[in-house]
Amino acid sequence: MQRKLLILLFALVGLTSPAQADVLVPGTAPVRHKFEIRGLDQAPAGTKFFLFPAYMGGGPTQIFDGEPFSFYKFCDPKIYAYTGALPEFEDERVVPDLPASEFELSLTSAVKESSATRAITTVYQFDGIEGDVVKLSLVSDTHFDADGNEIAAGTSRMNMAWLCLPCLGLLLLGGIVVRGRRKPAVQA
Amino acid sequence: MSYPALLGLTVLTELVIAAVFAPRERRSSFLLVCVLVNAITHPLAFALHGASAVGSMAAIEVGVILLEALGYRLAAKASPARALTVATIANGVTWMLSFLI
Repeated sequence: MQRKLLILLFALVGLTSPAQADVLVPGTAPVRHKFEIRGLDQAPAGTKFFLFPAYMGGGPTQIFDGEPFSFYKFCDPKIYAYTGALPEFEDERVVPDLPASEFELSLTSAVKESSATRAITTVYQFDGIEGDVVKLSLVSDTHFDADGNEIAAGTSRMNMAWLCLPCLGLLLLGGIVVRGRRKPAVQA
Repeated sequence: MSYPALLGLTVLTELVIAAVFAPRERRSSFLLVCVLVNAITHPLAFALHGASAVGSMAAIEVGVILLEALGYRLAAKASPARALTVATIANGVTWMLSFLI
């Protein structure tokens, strides 16, 4: 048995993949999360919007009405309104002195492996600029499965009818145990 | 990958490992028990993992290993060491495979 264990150990080492920077937590699956803000074209003339910080070490990223965007999972950016040229700064600790959304956007990068969700689209509505606040309201948070079909949040990949299988397995296994008890046992 | 495909792949992988560790004279009953213990543990583990109230994936895996080892011990009459070895390696390999697929 030791030789078999050794062979399996080598096989396991062969199965391992190189480590990656964005490692998934065991039991989770990656998700593509996109955001969209509608109604930005209703803003006062000349007003444009950017997302910051979108990426580690990256500058502001301009966003447009109804166009999907995303960002790095640990960034939690806000939406800022500006006029003129897109401001230039790369340090993500900078807090731009511009009207900003009240909340930070939060990206879901992974879900439980058993979840059917493989993509999420979150849509916000732009409700105007009040003082130094960019007013946004949540319109929808839509989940999609691997085939792109819309599903409810929390949908499992497994049909619950599959839970009949353990009962059947238990019955058959119990049958084997009972039958085995009637025969003399041979230690493996 | 759909759930039936996942279940099929898991059973197939564990069958190969069980075949490696099964005593030659009782290989067929060992393999039958392998299919049955997976029929019990796989849907349960998958459903438990999906339920947010249940703890970590590792805790569920430990439960699965112990249940499968008990199955090999009682139904295939494997020694405790062999039962635990097969269950641990089979589930370790399928867990690792889940990261690659």
